[in-house]
Amino acid sequence: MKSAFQCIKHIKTLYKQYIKPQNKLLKSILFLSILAALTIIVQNILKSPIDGSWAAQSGMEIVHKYPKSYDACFLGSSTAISNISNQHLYEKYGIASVSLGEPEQPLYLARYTLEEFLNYQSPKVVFLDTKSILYGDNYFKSRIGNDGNHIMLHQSIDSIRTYKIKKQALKDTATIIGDIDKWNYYSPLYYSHTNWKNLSYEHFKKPDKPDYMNGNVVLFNVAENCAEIYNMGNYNSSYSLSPQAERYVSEMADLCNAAKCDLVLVTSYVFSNKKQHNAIMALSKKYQLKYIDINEFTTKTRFQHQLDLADPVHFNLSGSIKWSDFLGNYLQNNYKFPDRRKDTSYRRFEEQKEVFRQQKDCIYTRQKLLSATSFYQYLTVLTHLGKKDHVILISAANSKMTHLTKLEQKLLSELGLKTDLSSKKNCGYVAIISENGVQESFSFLNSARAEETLNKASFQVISNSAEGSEISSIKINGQEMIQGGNGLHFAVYNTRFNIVSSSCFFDINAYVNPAPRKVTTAGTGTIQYATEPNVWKDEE
Amino acid sequence: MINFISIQFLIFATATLILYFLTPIRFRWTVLLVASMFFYACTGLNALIFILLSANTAYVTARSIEDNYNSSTPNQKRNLFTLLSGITITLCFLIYSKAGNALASAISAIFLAKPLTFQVIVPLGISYYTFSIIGYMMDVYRKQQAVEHNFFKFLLYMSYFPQILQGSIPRYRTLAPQLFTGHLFCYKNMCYGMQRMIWGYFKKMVIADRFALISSEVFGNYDSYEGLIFVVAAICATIELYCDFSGCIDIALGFSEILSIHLDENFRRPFYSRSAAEFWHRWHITLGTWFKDYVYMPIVSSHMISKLCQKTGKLFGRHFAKNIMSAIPLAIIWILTGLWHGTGANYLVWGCYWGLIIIFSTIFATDYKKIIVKLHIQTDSIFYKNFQILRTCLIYVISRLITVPGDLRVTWKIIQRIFSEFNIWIFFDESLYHIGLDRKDFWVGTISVLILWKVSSLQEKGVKIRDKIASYPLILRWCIYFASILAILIFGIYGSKQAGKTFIYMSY
Repeated sequence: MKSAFQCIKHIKTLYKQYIKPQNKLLKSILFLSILAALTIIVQNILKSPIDGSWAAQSGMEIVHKYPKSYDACFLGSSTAISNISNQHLYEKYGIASVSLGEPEQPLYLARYTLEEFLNYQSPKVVFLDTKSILYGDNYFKSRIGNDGNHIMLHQSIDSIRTYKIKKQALKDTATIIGDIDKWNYYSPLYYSHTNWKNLSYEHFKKPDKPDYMNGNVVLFNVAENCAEIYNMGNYNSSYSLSPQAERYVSEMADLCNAAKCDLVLVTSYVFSNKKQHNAIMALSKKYQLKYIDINEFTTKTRFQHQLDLADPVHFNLSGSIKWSDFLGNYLQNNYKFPDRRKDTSYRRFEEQKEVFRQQKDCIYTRQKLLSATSFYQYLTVLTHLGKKDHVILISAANSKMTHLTKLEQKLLSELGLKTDLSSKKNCGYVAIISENGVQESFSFLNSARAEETLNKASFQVISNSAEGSEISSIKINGQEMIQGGNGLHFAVYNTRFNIVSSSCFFDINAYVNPAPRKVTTAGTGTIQYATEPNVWKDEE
Repeated sequence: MINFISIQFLIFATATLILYFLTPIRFRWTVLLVASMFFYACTGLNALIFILLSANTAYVTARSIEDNYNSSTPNQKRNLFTLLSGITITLCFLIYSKAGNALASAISAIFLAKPLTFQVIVPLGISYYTFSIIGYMMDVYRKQQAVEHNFFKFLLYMSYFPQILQGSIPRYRTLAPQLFTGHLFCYKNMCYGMQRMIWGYFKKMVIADRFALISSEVFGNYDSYEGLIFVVAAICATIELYCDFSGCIDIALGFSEILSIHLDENFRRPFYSRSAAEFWHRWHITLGTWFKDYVYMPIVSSHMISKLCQKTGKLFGRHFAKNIMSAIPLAIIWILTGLWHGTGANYLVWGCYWGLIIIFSTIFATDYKKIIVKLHIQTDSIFYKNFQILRTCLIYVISRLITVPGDLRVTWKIIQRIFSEFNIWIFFDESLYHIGLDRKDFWVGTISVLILWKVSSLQEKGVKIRDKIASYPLILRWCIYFASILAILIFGIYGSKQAGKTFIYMSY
């Protein structure tokens, strides 16, 4: 308090000494400077609530921050952000790359993003995701029409600092979608001031670690139902390339030529079809560009559609690592890059190694749990899980445990369960295994339940009994993960990344070493894994 | 068009200020003229032609009247004819822009087989500058005003950009000398002017445009609402209109104050009025005084009214004649005021509504006083004063119901729906957060209105807010400025997500 008064006194003295005697111009300048500083602070605070999981990954920020440091970049739509792992390229091949794509980035914005990128960097290769080439102008217009906030536009245009490029990008935007309020793009506050309503305490906190991975969005989901992917395989919408698309590809090729780097077209999504492939191939030949289509290299990349896709379009981390491996080999075979791992100015990559390891651990665990075809396999995977990052939730349903083997009981004991389930019948039983220890609840003839909160995640496990009226279920953060199965219910939650790694049940009431099953809605049904590889869907 | 609520305007205004103070003093008025012409040209070249034609008409009329007066044989009838011609021509421009489409459809319905359609040009601020120049011509005719011989100076008086959007309606004798005399830069005026502009922006962007979301939602979808929701929406529409109009005037006055030009005040806390007549002495003051000087007084002093009074006096007595004497000019003024705001039937009814209230309150004033005396009501008590203030506010809120829906049939339906259900629970069940504003926006609006109310009540008590702020220590003063500016930047309704509305009185 005393020091605060002293500080005010000091400011007062400074004011009397220097500012008061001077003319009023100085005072006005000081006033405007403080106002500008305050506005910038407010602007930065209000910007954060609009940054969703995708928007927060703007790679252009790091492009500006570390000039002349990237060997390659990936441009285009969301697949350019999620389907490649820049960290993996660095760790395995020593290549520094960055993703500058944005969800549904139209080609013209990819072109201006490239120009901005080349103003700051001297790469050897620029990869352009072909999905951006296939978007028609009308498609983009309709999408923007639905999105009154123009978030898609902001993600690309806001990150462009060069006035001339930004101006041209806005001019092209206006040509495509009609009248736009350009001040939205020159003054962030103009656009984001309404976010005061969404502000929370979190927005005022400085993040502990950088929340970006060189422009990548890391996806942990595993697309469990591949049937959807095959439906998407019959992608029939028009993909005839517009003259505008050709114009921008040609301009991008010219920009790359001027910067002495190669423009490579890449198709990194697995629902492409032959017509699209041929159209892009013809375009690449016309402008003498290289073209790589993942669909031609599924065997080489060892891509598994049932495990490496986060959804029909995007790869999860495992898929992106496989695709990065393929592109890393391609880059090593065709270009000479200095090994950035030996360069101390790339410490930012080194700092992300641990997070990346944990991310890989998370996705591989998830894959293993999903790949387990029997109860025994599933329990084996569980016993190898790091308890620090995982919470295992168990609830018994209609417990008779008739077919629980000694080996399985042993593995359950290894997980830390003290109750011998093989001898139990007509009882309620639940368990929560976390870094805090094992919490078990057992109740003969009655229901059992357990609850726990860990790292802001809440868990609720309920087990029915022979006479109880409740339904066995596992809830995470209030959301039902599995309910109403038979035997033992399991759910595994990753506390590091706040995702549910697995949720299924094993009907040991009826079968020995049963397969995992999942209750989807009211009824029951097993998870259907696709076994066929993705093949060309030739419409002729 | 350059709107006050735009970054373009801030750039334009800053550039004008810099140029003004950099130009030699005797040429400073030319900067204002060029800026005004540029500002006006941004609304469209057609509109510019209109203002030039109107300026030319008034200029020529005034010069002709002056020439006639200066001639060896001044002819009053000729001057009257010149004046009426000038007024008729300028009014024709106004009628064309205000009622062009309505007249075209009426003419085509009577005389033509096919409907006549054409694009009517509505020049910005035509109602304001038309009234200004009519006043100027009449003053010249009455020999109350010297004629301006420099056409460009006259054009500047007419088109001075800060007041072209929503007024006020300036008098030549008060504004012109200030415009043509170059002013030195005054730091105090700059600070005071900017304060006033900030206050205007706060009223417009934080309050008016926020409450506009409620009124447009409720009156735009009146079928979906009933009961007290309409009362809330009408109150919001009232707050919206006051803050919109007075906010714009504050910006215009503030900008002019930076130039050391003092425009006429147009508002004096109208919601502290204790009667309808007082309300109109505090609301849109320059329009009221214009009507008083150029319509009311000529009618009252006309021979026709005197004769009518004499005749009615003989027939029905003096008291009745006195009432007629005051009722006729008031009725004419209020019909004209209604038509000035718009040519729709709702504006005519609105004018009649106010006219009737004011006429009846004038006629029955003595009877009313007698009742008060009989009931032993203390007219100076706070209770009675507040009752009168609330009564005036209620009268105004009802008048908003006549004009906001835009159609008298809709107004009637809304009035029926107000009484269809007494849903008082809307004040307790969060219904108010679902009629255009969410909870947070609603409370920001409410708190802003409370700030406005507090400031107004202090002003009403005679406190000069700006002088008071100027007396604070620098740190506190600056904190107030920063807080006000940031409040506008954060809570203001602007940008593509929450586009604010244009000024309501701009369309008049």
